[in-house]
Amino acid sequence: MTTPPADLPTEATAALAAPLPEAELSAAELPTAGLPEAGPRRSHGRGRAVLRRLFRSKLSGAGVLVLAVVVVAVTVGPFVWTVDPNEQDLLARSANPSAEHPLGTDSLGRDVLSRVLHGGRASLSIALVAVAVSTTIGGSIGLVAGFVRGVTDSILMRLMDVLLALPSLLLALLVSATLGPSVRNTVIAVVLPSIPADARMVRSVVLSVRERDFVLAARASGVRPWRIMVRHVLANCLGTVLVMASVSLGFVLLIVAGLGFLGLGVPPPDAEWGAMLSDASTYIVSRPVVVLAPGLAIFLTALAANLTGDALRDALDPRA
Amino acid sequence: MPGAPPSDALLEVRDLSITFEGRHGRTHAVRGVSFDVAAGELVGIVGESGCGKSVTARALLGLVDAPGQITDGTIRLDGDDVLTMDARTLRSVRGRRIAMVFQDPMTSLNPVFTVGRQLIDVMRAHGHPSPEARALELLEQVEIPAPALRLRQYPHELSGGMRQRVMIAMALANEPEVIVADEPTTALDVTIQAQILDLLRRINRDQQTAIVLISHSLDVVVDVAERVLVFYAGRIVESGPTSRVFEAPAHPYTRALLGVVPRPGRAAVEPLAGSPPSLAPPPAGCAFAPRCRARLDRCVEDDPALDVVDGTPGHAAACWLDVSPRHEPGRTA
Amino acid sequence: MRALVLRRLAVLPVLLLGTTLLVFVLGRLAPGDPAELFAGGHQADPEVIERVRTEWGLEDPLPVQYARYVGRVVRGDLGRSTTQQADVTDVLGRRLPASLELTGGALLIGVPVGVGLGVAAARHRGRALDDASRLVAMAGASAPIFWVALVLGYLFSVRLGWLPLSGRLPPFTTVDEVTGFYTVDALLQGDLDLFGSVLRHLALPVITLAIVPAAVLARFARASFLEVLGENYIRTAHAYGIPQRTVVWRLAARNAVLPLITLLSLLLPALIVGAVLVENVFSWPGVGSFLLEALQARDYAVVQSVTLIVAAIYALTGLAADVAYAALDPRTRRS
Repeated sequence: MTTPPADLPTEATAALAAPLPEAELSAAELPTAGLPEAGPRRSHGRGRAVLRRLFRSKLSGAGVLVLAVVVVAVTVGPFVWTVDPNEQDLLARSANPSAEHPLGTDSLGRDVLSRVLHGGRASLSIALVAVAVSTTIGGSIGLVAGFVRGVTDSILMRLMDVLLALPSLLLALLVSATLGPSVRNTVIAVVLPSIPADARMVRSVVLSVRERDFVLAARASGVRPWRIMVRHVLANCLGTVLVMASVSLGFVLLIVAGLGFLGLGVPPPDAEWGAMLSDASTYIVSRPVVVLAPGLAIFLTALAANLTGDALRDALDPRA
Repeated sequence: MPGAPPSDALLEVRDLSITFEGRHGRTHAVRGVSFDVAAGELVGIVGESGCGKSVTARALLGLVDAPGQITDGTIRLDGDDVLTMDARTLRSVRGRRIAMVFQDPMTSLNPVFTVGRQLIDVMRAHGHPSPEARALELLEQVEIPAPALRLRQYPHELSGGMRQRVMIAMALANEPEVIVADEPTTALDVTIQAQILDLLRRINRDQQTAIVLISHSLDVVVDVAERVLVFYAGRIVESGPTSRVFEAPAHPYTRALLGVVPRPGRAAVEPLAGSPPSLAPPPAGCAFAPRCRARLDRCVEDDPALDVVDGTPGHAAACWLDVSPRHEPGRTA
Repeated sequence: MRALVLRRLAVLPVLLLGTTLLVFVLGRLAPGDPAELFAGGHQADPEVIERVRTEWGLEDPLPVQYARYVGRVVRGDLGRSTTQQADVTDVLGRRLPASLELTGGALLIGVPVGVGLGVAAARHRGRALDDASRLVAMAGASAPIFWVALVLGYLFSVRLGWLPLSGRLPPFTTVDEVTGFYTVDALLQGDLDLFGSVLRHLALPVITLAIVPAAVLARFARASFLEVLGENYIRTAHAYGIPQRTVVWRLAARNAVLPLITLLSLLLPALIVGAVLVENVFSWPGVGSFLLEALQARDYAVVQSVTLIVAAIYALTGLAADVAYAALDPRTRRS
């Protein structure tokens, strides 16, 4: 069957959202013993199995690893490399890499390595907070809309449609330009366009879960609706939310960097990867390495986040 | 034909073995199967799901895909070994000299092309000179009403029985020597089943096309096949003229199968208990031994070979028991 | 089918109205007095500011202002650009062909590359080529496009000197604008040298932007083809000796392309965002760079209009894709 993909980011978790079909065995006519069972509650060995599957593919393993390295680097890095990212070494402006400045300095004589580390802190923490906030808000909207249905559902989803009517970065640009550049406003600008996708995805999972037998059974036996929602529906959404969050981390990181690049993100002089690229782009001719460093950092981190999301989806999907 | 065939069979399968590489080790799905199909013959293959009958059917067209692997044996079609053919030759054989009818006609036909287009494509692939005219003729041949209209329709606009008729028309398109029908009626209603079987029998009789009919139900096969092969756990456990196997089953498994299907004039015996053994790896002795009520000690250690039953030509069974037809269950002599 | 189109068309005005409201509210929330800005900033004569304010009805209640704004938009009046001192419709009319030429070129290159990569990956599932193609697709989706633009610009322009770094034309060169699409205009002029120059200017922005559709399509084409290649009817085709080439490129392609049609409309937002960034890096005089200039200068008539147009294009493509899908899939065609 060829059904159109409902939404771009939905693809990431469509596999999880769909009810698990019976294992296709007719093709091989193999004995059916020893196949994984697709049930609502997982056995104890499941966590370990997921972890093992997460590292099954070299590509996925590399993604998880790189993401971990980046997180550790920007968290611990500034304590190890203690150079002040805003200190201007006026004697060594636009300097080439040296022992003192391993990645050289920018046009104002600031240490590029230190700025990359601190910039990563800013970019990553903004992205992480934004993902957490949008997943929480969007997820709650989706959960309520999908569980309550009816008018509430319609109103919430039409609201989401309006937010979806604009490409995410464009909406972020508008919001950021309106509110003015600051860390808090950057988070708001990034969260707003991320909410509808999260809401839609969680809603689709909820809609499919609520029709599953164990929810029907719980309803039939008089379990309170909010209890069903928390115990059964929410529990079954967690996998989706996890995948969703890791995929959107990469996406959000790119928006944060894009805002910074266009001068509408974290205001100077604070370091942020996108903003650094924007500064550096003016002297790409003379100092390509300054452009290369923050860009590569954004690229690798986003790539790692996407690979991790993919790996997580595969690992959580018992069919893979 | 290079390499004259050692027998006069049209299709000659020898020692066919197929394994599947899986997470739980290697499954021996087909274990040394040999049989012949003569030109114009209608042979039935019967067995439970997982017995290797469908894989065998697919192997006849060289259609075993990874993780399946043919590890041993030959399949000769008019003397040419299907298993050693290069891709190009194999392609020219498939659909031209040997064609296949699949179980589910809904998913086996492409939903986005018209019936006519799919029939024509199959003929074009083998250089048929006038596929358009032939397509119409084919639909008439499989008794589809309003064939000209049907040619322009899409599979979803046809009923299940009609779709299977289209599949059969497709199989007939290039006038093959053999048609392999893998559970062609399983997905259909009972009344439609009979019509499709009837159609297959007529094609076999009128056009002298050999047919290999695969089914999980002895009942389906018994009405149409001249000869029947009973598969169990990747082996043939009994083979012979249909009437003979049906009237005087020699293998305990065949007898149990017959018992499972209640028929008029035949009292149902106890249904078969248990399930087929795992074939990863296969058991040392007779694979049916654990479920067999007439088990001997040697059954667990030695796997019996197919042997002629009671001196009846063409009737063979793989069982250590010397079963005589008089001991047939459920029937009082 | 008709019901589907009608239903989608009915939602369209609601969606656009929602967008105008969003844009309007954002415009009013923005710091700075539009009348003051229009009159020339802080040093402007308070009397002039007052006149502008009355003229524009900025003292009316917000709902009235909003209603007036929507009324003007419906009549096709998008207001005046304060930075360009011209009607927004005119400026956009001049800028739009540049953006369309850029995005069109990107689709022309990116779509076949993406589909090719995806199909190659699907056909060699689990093998090195599959991994490589997946990695390329994911890299394309993870790379900040403005960075790619900078790197490519550095490599091919600064370092190798093969391609021009910015603009649509060499300095001091002009094209007789007929369509606004310089490739077409140069050909209409019969000037092949000029045409070549236009192409060379297009090359870097187009190749950079092509990464967007290529990456997205590679991923989806792979998934779509994998699904189709596993279908029973593909097995049937093989069982009937239909050549592999025909099976993949004619039979499976028809099935697999259907979901990709809807994807093209979902691709649009990413493409628009990419275009804004790419235009910025390569100083491409399109709608994207216009929007950024307007944002910086708080030229709100322009910002509102561009936003509205993007939303409209976005909604219409979605509609077109749904209709195309329904029209091409025989299973929905007749119902």
